[in-house]
Amino acid sequence: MSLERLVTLFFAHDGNVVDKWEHYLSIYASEFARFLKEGKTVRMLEIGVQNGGSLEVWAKYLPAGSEIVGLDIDPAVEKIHFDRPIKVVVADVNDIERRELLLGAEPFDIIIDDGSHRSGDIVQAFRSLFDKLQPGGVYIVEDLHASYWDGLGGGFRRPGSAIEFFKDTVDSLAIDYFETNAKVSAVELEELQRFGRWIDRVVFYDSVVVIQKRLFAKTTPYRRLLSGVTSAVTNPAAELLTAPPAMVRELRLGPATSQVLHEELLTRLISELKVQGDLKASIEALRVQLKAQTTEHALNLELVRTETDDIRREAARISDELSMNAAERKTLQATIEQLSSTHQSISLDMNAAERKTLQATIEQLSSAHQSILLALVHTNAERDALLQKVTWGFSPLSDGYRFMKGSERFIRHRLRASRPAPKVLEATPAQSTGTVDPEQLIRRSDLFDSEWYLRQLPAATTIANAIRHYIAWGAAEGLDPHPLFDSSWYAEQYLLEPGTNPLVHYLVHGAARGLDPNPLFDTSWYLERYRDVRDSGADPLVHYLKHGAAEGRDPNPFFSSRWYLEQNEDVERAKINPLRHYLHHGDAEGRDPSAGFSIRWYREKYLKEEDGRDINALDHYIQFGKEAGYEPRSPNADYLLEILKQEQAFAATLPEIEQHISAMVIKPLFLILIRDGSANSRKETERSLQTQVYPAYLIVESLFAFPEEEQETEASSRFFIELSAGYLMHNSALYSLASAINADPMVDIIYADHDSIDNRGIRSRPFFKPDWSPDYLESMNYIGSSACVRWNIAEPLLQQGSSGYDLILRLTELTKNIGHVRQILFHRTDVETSCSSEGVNHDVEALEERLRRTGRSGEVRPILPDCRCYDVKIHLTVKPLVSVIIPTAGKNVDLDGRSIDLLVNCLDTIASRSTYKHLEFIIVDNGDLNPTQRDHLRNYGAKSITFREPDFNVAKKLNLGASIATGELLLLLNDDVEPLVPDWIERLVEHFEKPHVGVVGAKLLYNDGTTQHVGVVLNSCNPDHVRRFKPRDDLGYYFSAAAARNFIAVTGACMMTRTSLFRTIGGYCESLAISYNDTDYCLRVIESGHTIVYAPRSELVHFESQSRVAALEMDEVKYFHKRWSRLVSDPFYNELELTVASPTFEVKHNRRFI
Amino acid sequence: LARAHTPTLALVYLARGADESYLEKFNSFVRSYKMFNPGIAHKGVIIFKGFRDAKQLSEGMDAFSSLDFAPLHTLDLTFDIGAYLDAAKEIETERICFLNTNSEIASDHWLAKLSRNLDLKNVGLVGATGSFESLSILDQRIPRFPNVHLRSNAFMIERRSFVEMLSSCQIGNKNDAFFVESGPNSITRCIFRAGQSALIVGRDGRGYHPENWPRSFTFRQGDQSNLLVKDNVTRTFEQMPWKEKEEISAKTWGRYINSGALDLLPGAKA
Repeated sequence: MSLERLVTLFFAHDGNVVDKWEHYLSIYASEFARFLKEGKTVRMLEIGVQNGGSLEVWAKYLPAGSEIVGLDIDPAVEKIHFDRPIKVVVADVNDIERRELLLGAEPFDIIIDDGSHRSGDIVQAFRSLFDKLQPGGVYIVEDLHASYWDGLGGGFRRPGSAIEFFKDTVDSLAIDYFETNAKVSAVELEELQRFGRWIDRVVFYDSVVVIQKRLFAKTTPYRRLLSGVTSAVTNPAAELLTAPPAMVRELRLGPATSQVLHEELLTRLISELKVQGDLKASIEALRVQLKAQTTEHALNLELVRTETDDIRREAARISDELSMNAAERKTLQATIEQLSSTHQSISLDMNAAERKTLQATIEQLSSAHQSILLALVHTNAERDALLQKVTWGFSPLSDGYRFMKGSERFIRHRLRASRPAPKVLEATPAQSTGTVDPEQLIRRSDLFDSEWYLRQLPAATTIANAIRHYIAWGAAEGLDPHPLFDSSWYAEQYLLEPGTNPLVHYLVHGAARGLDPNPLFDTSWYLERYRDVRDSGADPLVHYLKHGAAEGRDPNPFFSSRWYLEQNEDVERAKINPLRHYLHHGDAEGRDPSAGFSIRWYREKYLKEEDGRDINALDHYIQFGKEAGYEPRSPNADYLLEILKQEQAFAATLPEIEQHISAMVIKPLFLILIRDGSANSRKETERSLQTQVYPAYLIVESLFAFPEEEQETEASSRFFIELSAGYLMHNSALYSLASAINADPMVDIIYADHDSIDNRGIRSRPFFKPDWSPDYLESMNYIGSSACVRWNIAEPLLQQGSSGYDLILRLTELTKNIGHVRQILFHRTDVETSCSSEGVNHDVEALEERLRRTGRSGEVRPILPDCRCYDVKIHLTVKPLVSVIIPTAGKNVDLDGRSIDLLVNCLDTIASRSTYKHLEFIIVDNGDLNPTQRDHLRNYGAKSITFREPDFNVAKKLNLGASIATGELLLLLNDDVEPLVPDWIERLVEHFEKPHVGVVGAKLLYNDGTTQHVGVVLNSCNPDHVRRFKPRDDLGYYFSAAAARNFIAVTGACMMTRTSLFRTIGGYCESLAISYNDTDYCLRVIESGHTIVYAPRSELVHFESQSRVAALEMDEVKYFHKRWSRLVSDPFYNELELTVASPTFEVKHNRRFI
Repeated sequence: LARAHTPTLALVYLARGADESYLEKFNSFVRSYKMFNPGIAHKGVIIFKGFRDAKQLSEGMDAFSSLDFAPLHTLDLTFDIGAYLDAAKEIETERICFLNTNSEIASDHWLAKLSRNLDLKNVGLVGATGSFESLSILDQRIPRFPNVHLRSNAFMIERRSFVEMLSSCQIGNKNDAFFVESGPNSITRCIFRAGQSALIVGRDGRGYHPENWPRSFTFRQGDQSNLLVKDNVTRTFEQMPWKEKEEISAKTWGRYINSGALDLLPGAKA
């Protein structure tokens, strides 16, 4: 009826145009029916007015007198003429302050979102308007199909889209049922709880979602109702008795059900008492039996004694009668005594064995008795908890409560009555373990290996039944029933009561509780890792033995079954379980349990001082080492492996390389000067030269005295290498340098990567260097001794006596034709000794000279004592005007419990904490700053400019700000930063005294003090921050985080650049409204011939993305990839040899993709 | 080195007027030819073909007016390779280096680097680019991946061998031209059958045998930094976004991009 009325109204409507999908009418008719039925006036808000027709239809359709309000961002809606009293408000729905002012505080019964259809807007509107919905009201979102569209911030199952958000609201209905360990963040949980309290239902239609608000907030979880008496399938009493109190607390029972439960409880407890009584009787019977056997044993002893006496007497008689000589008599006497002793011993042994068996049985029974008593106490405790659950007192169920109380009294009475009533029963093996026969249990378990067991016994031992022997003797003696079940370890690890059989305990309780049968089988991990095993209910160890190992499953995270078999063909051939082999042989033989664990290395490093041979290395690591932060293998192992591969590849290509050398168009002559060092270290260096595959080199003692035959070599083909004595060259070093010269005959300086080598020849600490980095070179001599310099360039400087760091600095002032060979060609031997104070002094002098030559003055200090990496702090002679451009949304945020007005805080902290005062603030706002903020701007004399476009575009905002800047330098700054050091601006500005510098970025820290930005690299053309979440004082990779260094980009959150350069290259790219615009700017700066510098001494806190939720716009990503397609690899970060996910500079050889 | 004397050498550039933006391409070649020292004496020849009319031909020839190259006119019926064969029959030098219309030289001593590698014993063919790609999807007679072949955009060969190899070929359509480059009887395969090797020569002057082509950093590898001569295909690769580069690189080199070992290539080793 209401649908018919709505359809009629809709098509009869002759006012402003209204536009709805056909199926919406039936949805609205259904959802609004109750409002019409009640006939009360309602208050409705529709977001998105368009032509206003929809509002008119609702005004006609809803009960007379209802208040219809439209809200739209377009001021044109104010001009719409309505034929009914309809209110229209012009505001951004997410501009809460303005919206609230215009809409008033009264809640709405109906809210319809037919606004921008952008997912972000829809979600934000729902979050902020849900509280404005009257209890019992409905919130309707139209045209949700738009949330599948990329252009409106949506997409199929795209996180953050409106449809995904509303799907998530369904989770709020289940908030009371979440497990305590559910993976949900605090923020998500808070929102789920908020909605869970109020959402009554969520209904999804085609393109529409309806959320109805509850009439009253749900403050406690729903309760379970239980009624009826017959339970043929599942027994609710059993469930109730074993469930934790929290789950039972809210249960409501019908009277009949509570009666049944009461009886069930009684039955169970009486049964427990009976078992207890039976056990006590069994123990008593066994005691009696033992006593009888002890008596029998005493009688036997007496009998033996009598027999012995008889033999002695008979011997004396024979001796007398036959008058044997003394010697013969002595021999006979000895024989007789020996026989007597043996006889006695055998008798005693037999009796001891029987006694021990009996004792073991008694102890076992006592243990079972103790367990049952404990179980009983537990049951009592559970029952007590159950009886005290508050909701049992709910009035219709009071009978149930009384019954339970009555039960308690009855049970206590029975318990008292049962104590003095032991009953002697016949004891049998089956009864002695309660319900399970341990022998049968073990036999069926597949965890008893008779052969293995017998091997642990003395060679001559013969046993009829090994399992019985294990139960009676072996377990107590610490013998193992199976190579993968360690009885002693298990008993010690889980504090078993004496007499408890470890294997029986494991089979009955241990496996199910996740206890481990040996130190290297991690039961819980196995079941968690292999869910199919867990779901099947199989015993995990048995599964591993029968199937898991063969299927390549692992017993713990550090043992690889497959790898172990691959590495040990003998084990695979013999079809031995890999873990079994490792435990009993492999570890002792130094066979590694996986590629990630080196037995030899671990023993050498951590077990050397103990008697490591007796300690299982993997066990040690799992039990102690992991916690202590020990390394399972040398961190250098990957590198060594990669070296091995490269050496093999190099050897394989040697014939081709020799051909190449013969065919080279340019055959450079390398003049090598070996400086300093002892005679031995010089010899080492010379030896490495003798292995060179490229033959044209000359070791020169004096720079200007070449042998005659070399005088003819073209000067342009001579290259100079200055090596410190002790440095070694890879045998491909000169060849690779010669190849580089042939590839680029114009090159003047070439350098290569290097590593360290110890006196055993083990290489480590590779330094995969960045390509030419002029600003990094002012922090440290990263080029080092691997520089190969065209003789023509080097000669004049060498004549002046320049060497080392000074020489490199001076050379790079003479030429920009600098190449980098991305190969380890040099090996340093002086790593431990190179940081001498003399060396540091030379370096400082070299840098100070550099400052003088380049017209700067400043202080040069090692960043750490005696460290050859330097902080060069420039004394600024000129302090140019810096225009600080801050785009802002004028937001307040909560940070660690304090409310912060980001813009105000940013301005205040800059003004109060910065020593650099020649600043011009330019604030780019959205036209919505509050009076306090405006006051602040006035106080600081800030220029303000308003960005008026509807779509967020930070690139446009920055360009807008820069357009009115008058400073020589621009400081592009987010409003969610706070400076940490007073001279943070000076430490940025100082780099602009070098004409080649185009952009300088700061060190940014998260609020917790860990690194957020210490440089940006490109990984497969995707920008990424290096070394996030490291401590503030992290040095980085070869001082990458602690020293000024070149990167391909720095973050735009705090970026300083030259105003003239910014304008010349067109500022930020406005096609990149949100993503990658800062990296794009840096790349264009590099393209223009300038460098990007990371300045670590300029430190700020960045509350990151407080102004706006971080998001990656895929269209912009595509644009960026296309725009920078030619950038295949980052010149400042070696993607092939350093980690890329995430880029932490850790050494890791990566697969090539292109 | 296998040779005691320096063989005579002709550089043949194919100037095809029917190509889009042909003048721009001619100018790029001329600019690069002047920029980089070839490093070896040679005779210059330009094949002019595919021009619409005399005026267009005249414009085309003007582009080369600053070079001392001899013109040679052929019909535009037999694709690039047919024109190369026509030229080879006319030229009397011992060796010829062929460059197609899209070629752009990228390194000093480029011609000398090619020539020195052709001097090497058991080397019958050298070029700036090569590939393992297979066009068997177009014609099943083309060997499947990895189909080792030097590309015909820039290569050097003994003139006599080239003429002998191609004299029995009918080059009437595009597929015939593909066959000469990467078919079952491609120039590369003919060289292998003759017990010789085909090398990619890099900017570094190294002649890479086929097992090392995937790590030569030339055609469709990384930033192609070792390319001796560029062409339209290498430029297209350069402009591809990373993901597309990855796909095309996989198509060209497959898993060999990481190993470089090519025991699986029968006949590829000299």
